[in-house]
Amino acid sequence: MTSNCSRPARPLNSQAVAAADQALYTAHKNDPRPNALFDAAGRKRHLSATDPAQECLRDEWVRSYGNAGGKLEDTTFKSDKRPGDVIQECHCSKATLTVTVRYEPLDAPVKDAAVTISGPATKSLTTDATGIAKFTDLPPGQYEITSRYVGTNKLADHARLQIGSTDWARATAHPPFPRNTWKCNLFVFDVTTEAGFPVPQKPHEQKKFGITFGTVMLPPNAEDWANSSSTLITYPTVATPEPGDVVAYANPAYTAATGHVGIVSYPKNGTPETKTLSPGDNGNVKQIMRRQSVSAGGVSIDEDDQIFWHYYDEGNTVETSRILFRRMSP
Amino acid sequence: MLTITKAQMEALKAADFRRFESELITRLRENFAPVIEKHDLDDASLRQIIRQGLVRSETYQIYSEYDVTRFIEYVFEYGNQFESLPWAAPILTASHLSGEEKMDRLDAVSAFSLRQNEESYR
Repeated sequence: MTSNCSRPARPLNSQAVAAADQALYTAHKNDPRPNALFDAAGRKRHLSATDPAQECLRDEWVRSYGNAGGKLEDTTFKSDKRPGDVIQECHCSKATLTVTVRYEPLDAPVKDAAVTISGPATKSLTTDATGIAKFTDLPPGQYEITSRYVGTNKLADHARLQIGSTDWARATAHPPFPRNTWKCNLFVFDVTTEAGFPVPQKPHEQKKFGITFGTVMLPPNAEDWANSSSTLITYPTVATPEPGDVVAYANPAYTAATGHVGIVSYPKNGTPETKTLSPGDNGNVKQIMRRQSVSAGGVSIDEDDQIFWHYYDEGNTVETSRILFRRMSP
Repeated sequence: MLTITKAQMEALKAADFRRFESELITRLRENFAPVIEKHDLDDASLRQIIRQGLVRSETYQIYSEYDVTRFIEYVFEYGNQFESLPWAAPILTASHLSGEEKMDRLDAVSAFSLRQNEESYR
């Protein structure tokens, strides 16, 4: 069928035909390729006369034909009515697409992910608390689906501002920490304090040659953060982290540190995917967002998706049992 | 001798065959004026073509007023041999398609595939 609601009257108006062709291909020149109108190299394809998946494209062409001065007839009449009525609107069979965005590792819904679909129509929605964005009333065709996290968290923002900084480098002296000491806990202390989430310090005896010559107040170390029974840190623990949480790992086998501690950052963008929707389809697509953290490494402040998280990827339950998340902001 | 079949008469009886014929003549004069002028077709000739079209369309199970109108328009657009054209014949003789589906398919092919094939030879 040419269109489910209108028909170009015969004979066709060649000028309107050319204009409709141009309008259709121009409107879809940026759609993900290959698609119904362009091959992967960008060469034009002929619109199919019969493919049900291209029904909306044919309707779009017919609308353009009418807009360009081509005469349209109403096809809603059948046996007992006559042709000739001019009509304005066409409605092809639309589709829906449900995009579910989940964290990886530690599977959980991603709230506040901006999901964008581009194709015969381009739309953006933000995921709800269940990690779902539902697009309705979509013209059939091929869509590219992308997702990026757009939520905000004060502590995560403070931590991310320091990415690349060498102020907490192992080789750098950062009072009260001397050079050649790991400073991940100092970094967490500094950014949590700056973000307005106070963390108590604890006394630390300064010794040299076995002789105590003073006491300084130091930030809690990774072991303190990772201790769910800690009386020093009272911020609540959570099983499923969100951006802005503190992530801590304790390992008694370490000699130069008690573990590692950082801030849960924003997840990585989802990997773009394509989905072809036919008329009436209720399509589903899953987007995975990789968790990340920001912490002080040996050289600089880094954001990555491996430290802490690789233990979950590996299914290493011994190590993951040593990781604790604390929620700083309610 | 031209015969309007019972099936067609059933389809057309509510609309009145004469009225249908007259309105189709008006429509053809509006939309196909160059063809009509070229062949110097008067109303009597047009009625003859319409009745021929009715008979021919009936052989393809095309009965409704709207579908018959479309069929006759194709005769005007593509000529008397329209039924045997390579793009039209398989559709008209397809046993799995109703008359309406055949005309819908002809509409689509003539608007998209056929026109585009012609373009590719330019």
